[in-house]
Amino acid sequence: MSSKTIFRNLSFFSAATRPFLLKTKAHNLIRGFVTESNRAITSSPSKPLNNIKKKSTPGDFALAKSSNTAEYVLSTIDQVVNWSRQGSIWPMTFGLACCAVEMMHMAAARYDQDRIGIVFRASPRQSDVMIVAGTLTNKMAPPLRKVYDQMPEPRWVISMGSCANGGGYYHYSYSVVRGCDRIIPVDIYVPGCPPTAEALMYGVLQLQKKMRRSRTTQLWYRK
Amino acid sequence: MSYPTRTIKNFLKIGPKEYLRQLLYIGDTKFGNLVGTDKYGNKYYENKEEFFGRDRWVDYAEHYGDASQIPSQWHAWIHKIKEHPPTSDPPPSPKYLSPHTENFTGTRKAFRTYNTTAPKILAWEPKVNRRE
Repeated sequence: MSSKTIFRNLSFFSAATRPFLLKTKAHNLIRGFVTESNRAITSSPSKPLNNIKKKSTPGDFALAKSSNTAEYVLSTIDQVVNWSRQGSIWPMTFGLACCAVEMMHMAAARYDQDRIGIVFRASPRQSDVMIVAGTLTNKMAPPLRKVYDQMPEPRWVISMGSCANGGGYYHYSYSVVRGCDRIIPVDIYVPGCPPTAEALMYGVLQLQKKMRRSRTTQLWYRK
Repeated sequence: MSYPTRTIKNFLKIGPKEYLRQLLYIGDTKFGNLVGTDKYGNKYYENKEEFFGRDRWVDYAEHYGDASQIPSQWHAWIHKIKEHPPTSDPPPSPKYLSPHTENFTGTRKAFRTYNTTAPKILAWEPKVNRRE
């Protein structure tokens, strides 16, 4: 990956919000401290990449604060939408192999996914998340894609276990897809062979974190 | 197992305000001794009368607490790797020990893979002749 690509990744905020970003002192979602190294983040071609300090602080990845009334209202709407989405994740179970057993453990009494609003829904039309648990074979790949296409937006995918992540143990098999991200876009990769129920639960919590950062109406307004 | 008597007993000890707060964050009614607070403000509690696995717990400083916000010293205590908390039994802190960070997944600081070597495969760029 060239330095240009890394540079693009760092420029998370659009040019319109960046001047305001420098002013955000208190609004820090991650840890609550912002340092002067925020100023190092730039995407203008006149200031090259070596202006960026090597060690960034948690303030570097805070969300941008809303700059006007409309954005303030829309960010609040977004928060409500995100809150409701993260509180009722209905996963489409795509149990393919032994990972599915761990997925069942997450549903069972000890880890109790119900307490964070997760209910398995065996219908793609009414589910938000697809948990791909297990080895995805060439034969199963078209149904996987079909089921994913049947899910309504917004939809997320959790790839569970090394087989779904990248083929895993069966990477060199003639009949196995080397990672389900070759078929569908994946949001969260849970490593492990199989991952423990705790690991999958933590992956779900990471997905919640991702949901909380989505800015649906704000991006629509900015457009 | 959460007996009603246990819930009522703890409710009488902690009061209605703390009860509602615990329902929001922990989802249970708990009462225990404050063992310590780490540098991020997470509070660690212990109650030996609870059964194994439920006798030590954390109250996160942030609204959306994450298990990776627990620093390693307290991680050892809360997972029963060590018996005593780092306040009374501090682990060795060598000079090369880097400061604790939480999980950066989903933030701008998340790890991204990169490659510094030259690509071994040169991609083929197909050129299609126009059909006449």
